[in-house]
Amino acid sequence: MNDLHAVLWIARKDLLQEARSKAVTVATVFFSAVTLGVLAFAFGENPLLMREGAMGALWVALAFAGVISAAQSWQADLEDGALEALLAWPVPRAAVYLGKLLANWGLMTVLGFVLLPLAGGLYGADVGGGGEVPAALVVAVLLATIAAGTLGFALIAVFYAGLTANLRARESLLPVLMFPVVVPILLAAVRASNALVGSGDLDLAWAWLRLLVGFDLVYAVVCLALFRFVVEA
Amino acid sequence: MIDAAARLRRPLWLRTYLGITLLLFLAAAAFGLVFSPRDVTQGDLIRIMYAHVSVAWIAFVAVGLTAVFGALYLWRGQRRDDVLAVASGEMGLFFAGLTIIGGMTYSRPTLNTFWTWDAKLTLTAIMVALMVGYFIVRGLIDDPVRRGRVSAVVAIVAAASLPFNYLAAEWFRTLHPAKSVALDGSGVTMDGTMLAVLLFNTVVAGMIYLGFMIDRVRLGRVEAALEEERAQAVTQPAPVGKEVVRV
Amino acid sequence: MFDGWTQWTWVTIAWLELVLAYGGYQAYLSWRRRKLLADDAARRIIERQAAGGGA
Repeated sequence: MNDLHAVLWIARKDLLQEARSKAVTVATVFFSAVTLGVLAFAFGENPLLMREGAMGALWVALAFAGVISAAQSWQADLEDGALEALLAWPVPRAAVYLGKLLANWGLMTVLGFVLLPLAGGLYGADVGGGGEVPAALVVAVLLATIAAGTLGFALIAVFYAGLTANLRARESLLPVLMFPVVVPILLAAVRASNALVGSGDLDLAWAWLRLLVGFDLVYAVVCLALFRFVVEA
Repeated sequence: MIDAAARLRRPLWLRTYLGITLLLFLAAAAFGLVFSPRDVTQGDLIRIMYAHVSVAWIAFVAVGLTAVFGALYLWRGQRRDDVLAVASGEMGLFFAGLTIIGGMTYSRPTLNTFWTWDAKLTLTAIMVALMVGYFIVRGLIDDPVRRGRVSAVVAIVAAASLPFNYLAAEWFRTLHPAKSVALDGSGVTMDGTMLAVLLFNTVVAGMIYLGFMIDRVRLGRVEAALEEERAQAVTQPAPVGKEVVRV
Repeated sequence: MFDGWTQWTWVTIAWLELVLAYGGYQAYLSWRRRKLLADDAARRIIERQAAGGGA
């Protein structure tokens, strides 16, 4: 089995595991609902604040989901000794990382696409766009922003979840390690999303999107290169 | 057997270096406090800038070097690189923390608040969080090789985040009206003397970093050597007829 | 509370922070050195007892 097959096999395995156990889906749906609900309640009195907070709430929900999903993806393998078997395989460690990354990214992106209209509806935010900018384009860039943002988040989450998987205090350590690193993604994603949803400002969104894409590129290389030092039996 | 006490005593060259550094620090303080002009806007408060900005620059250098030494350790696997990494990491945390405190001391009298989301200060706060994570991870791993490798990875990921964090914080800020006084000294019209004093203070801070590093690395090397000695003692077979107490 | 403080008060505090921090770090290093030597001495005593104990 060559490397690409290994990556896809691992991604598929993780997704099937999730489809069966639904552990991540249940947890993330619950947390997303709580996040969106609580923040809506907090902003509730002020419709302007609601509209401007919509994307922030969305990304907070996605961030929680990303951490849960990444942690669970390693835990499930750790429990049955499946992780050791996986690592004993003659494929580069990076392939294991890449497979899990794809699965997690996929899940988060789907969640993002689902939450987007929900957040929009709940917070009264609408896809903006003056006359010149077609709404379809704005939506497309918005979806791309979600994908780029969740990719960056998943890159770090899956990486650090793997690192902390067999350390003590892993549940508290994962967010402590992750969050200072993902601050730029969260900031950029929220700002880009806000620019698109509020006024359809493609230029402003593009400025932030460049930061997201740059982050994704740099960390794709860094994480793939360093992953083999992270999981050792 | 290692004579730890002898190896921990400072040799003459080190004591000389530290003595010179102390004198230069006093000189730099004299220049900063006495032999430099007041600022047009900030008055004497500009003198805080010399203490604060010099330390900030060294903090970033220290964290960057932690990642570099970590990368060296990943590449060559020599314990001394890990000792260098953890020493520089301690320096990074120390100088970054000092920068935050200095920043707050500078900010309160000039901007009337202890904290602004100034890009450089925000970045320094994030850096403190990153380095705390580095040391938590080190504390959780007992095997020195694995500890060195995993913490090197954490340091590299952390250092790589700094440019992105800076850009994010900076762009976040430019959407809001910028204050007229910047805490990094850039909003100040610095005349030649001020710049010279700042550079002198920065060089001295760098010398202090180096001095602390040498001290810390010497300590780290003895720790590592003793750790290896202990590990070997445990794996040696017990002499026949005698009980061996496992330490 | 801080409003009445003069500029030189703040300047002094800022520079004292440096002095205290640098001194504090040196104190920390001294403490670590002492601890290392004490732990090492204790270990040697235990090892000597273990090696000579069966005789």
